[in-house]
Amino acid sequence: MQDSIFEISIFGGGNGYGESILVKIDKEWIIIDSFINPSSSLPTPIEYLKEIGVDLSKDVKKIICTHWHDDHFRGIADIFEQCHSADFFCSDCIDTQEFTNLYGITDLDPVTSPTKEISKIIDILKSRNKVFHSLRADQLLHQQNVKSNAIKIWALSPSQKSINASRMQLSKVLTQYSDDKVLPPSPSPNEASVALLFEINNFCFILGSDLPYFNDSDKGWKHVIENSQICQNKKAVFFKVPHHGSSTSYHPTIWAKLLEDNPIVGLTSYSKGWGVPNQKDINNILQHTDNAYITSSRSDKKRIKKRDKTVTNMLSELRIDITEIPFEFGQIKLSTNNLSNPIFSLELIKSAIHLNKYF
Amino acid sequence: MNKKLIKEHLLSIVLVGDFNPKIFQPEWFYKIGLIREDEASNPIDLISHAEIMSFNLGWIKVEINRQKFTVYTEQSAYFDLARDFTIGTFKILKHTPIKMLGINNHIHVGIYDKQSWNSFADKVAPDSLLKKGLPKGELEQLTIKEERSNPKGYTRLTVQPSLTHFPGAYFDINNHFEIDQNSKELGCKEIISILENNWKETEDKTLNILSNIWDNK
Amino acid sequence: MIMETSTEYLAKVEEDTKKPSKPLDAGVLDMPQEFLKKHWDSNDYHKTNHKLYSANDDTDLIDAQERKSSNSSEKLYLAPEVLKTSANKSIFFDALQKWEGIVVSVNSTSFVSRLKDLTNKGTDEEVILPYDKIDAEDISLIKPGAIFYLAVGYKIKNKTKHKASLIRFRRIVDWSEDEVIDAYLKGAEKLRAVSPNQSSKNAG
Repeated sequence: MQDSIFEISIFGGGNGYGESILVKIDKEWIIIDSFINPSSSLPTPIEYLKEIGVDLSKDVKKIICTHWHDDHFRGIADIFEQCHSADFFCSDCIDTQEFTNLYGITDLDPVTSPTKEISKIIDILKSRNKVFHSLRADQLLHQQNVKSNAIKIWALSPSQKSINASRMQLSKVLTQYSDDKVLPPSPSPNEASVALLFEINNFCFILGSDLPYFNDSDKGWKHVIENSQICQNKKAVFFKVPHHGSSTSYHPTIWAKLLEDNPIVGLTSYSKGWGVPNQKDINNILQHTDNAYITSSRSDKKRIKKRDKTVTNMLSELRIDITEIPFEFGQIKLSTNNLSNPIFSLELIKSAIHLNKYF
Repeated sequence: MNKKLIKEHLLSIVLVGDFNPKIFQPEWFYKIGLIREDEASNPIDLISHAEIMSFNLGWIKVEINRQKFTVYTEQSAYFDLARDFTIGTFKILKHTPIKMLGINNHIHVGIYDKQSWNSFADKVAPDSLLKKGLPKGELEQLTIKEERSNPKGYTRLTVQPSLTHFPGAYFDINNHFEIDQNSKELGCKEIISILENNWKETEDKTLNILSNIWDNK
Repeated sequence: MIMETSTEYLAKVEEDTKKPSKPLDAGVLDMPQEFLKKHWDSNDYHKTNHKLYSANDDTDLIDAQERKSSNSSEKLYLAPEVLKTSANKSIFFDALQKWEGIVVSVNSTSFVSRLKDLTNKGTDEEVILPYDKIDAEDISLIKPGAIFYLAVGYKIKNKTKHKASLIRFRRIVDWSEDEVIDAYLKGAEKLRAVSPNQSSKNAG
């Protein structure tokens, strides 16, 4: 039952499946990023919203794609297709000639192309005679009054310098693709990702996307701290930790300058491969707050997917050792019925746990 | 649906347009990087002629005449590769005029006992319909066609008893696509885009058709 | 041996369909065994191994060519035996499970891949494959981001079957400079049509 006036949920699938954030303001919804539930093949935001009785065609007003890593926007085009009343937002880096270059190439190679989603979004925009809204640092996306409560949503990134840097990286992809004939590993678009600040009366939430910290005042978190007009004299009570808590996105000044003492923080995990957050990353977070939560627990154990016994035996005999990448869906949900004097209620759903239980 | 009941599944990708069969030598496919060298050197049953080119690579069979380019395989492990082979060919030959595409599935499904056979037949062609006009009549073949507007074309399903797998049913699922006759697009880029973008949907549709009939019998 | 071409085959189908109706007017919804008895040589019928058609069918295969009509000079085209293989039958791979894989990382002896289950959907999987499992001609294709298809099942040759895996890399043609430019222009044009104006950056 939808009785909260404000709600923010972080969804994570763990292990590279992706993350997504849903924000509810009064009766309207904002979807930030998307990933696919491998069991149903549906975008997780859609599944959740349908489960709670939201009318996708009317109640979803904004869809924001923070950046083009495929664990952030698988299924986002399907979401946009169903949400007829929504506007589409993405990082300003898409509006560069070099990105259209990448788009053009990967349009010819659709099997794993992350920009196939973009292609579909563009087609939908065209059919609706709409444009997408590009976001950059210090840009206002939204403002409204809800029962005398002032609400604003700001983009904190990407900075101009980051946009320029992404532009150069994308142009390199063109050369690499022609030479190697395979889709190259994505150049990191983290630098150009969109971090968001929600301002509701006197309190703020910061959603950090995958924005990194650089020792450069013109990009990443240092730019936000030192140059952002929006963040002056504002501190957030809730923080979605960027990039699975990894060290590339951590710096103590983020916590000192942008966040309240002992804020509530949420993050998603990525256990496979390089595995984040590691113990050091967790320690970095826990030194600043007791209220840290993560969407999925760590999965070290090797699991074999359940399938026909003949196949399992065959794999064993052929010495092909296939292990499952578990989908560990978790939701960190923060909500309140009162925006004037909010008392937040926190729920940890399914795989979500306190961060100190991760290891 | 128990996939073990599928006794034979042949996939064919058929392009209708204007082709020059002679250029489609196995060696040419190797040179453009679409097949391996040993496959190009040792094709099976090669027919090389100005009017027809035909060969078997072991994993797919290829046949080209002036009007049709056909790739087919009975081995499901190679279905996606057959698609890739076709797409790869016409990425190079992008100026080839191609107006129609067929992604066709020819499937023989086993039915393992009398009760299943009868319930399947009743489901496909209920007795009540037959008995009205032709009380002793029995169904030979059932064809259903669903039109499609975007992209233009249709899906046609034909069901009949299998004559090669007894007891069994034979499903012929023809997914036909064509580009607008008024299209000014030269070459085959549009039809190849249709192949790329509709492959997954076609696959899902085929399984859906079988499952809907099978699981609801 | 010259293979019958599909053109010739189609011509025969057309010819046959014009002829008076054949065995099928016996009633195709008869009990299959009854149908068989009418159209097969009685010896052939009794040789048929009906156990083949059990739900747990994993017995030896029978080549479809062995089935004949009762009149060997006529062929039944309605359920096409379209793709008769040649007498020297090439290896047939009967896949039980298929995956699409993407190479995540490579080292000197093996590569790590993330697999998408094409048979059952569901969660992804991970596999480390040594190079000795890869066909020599595909080794050069192994790079991060490369796509391959993995299947396990039975390899069948000359009616004997044994368990096998199949790994084959996706082959992509080289892009010419012209194609890259075409793609760029197409992408740019499509994006421009839905891009915001420079003056309207702030969305309300």
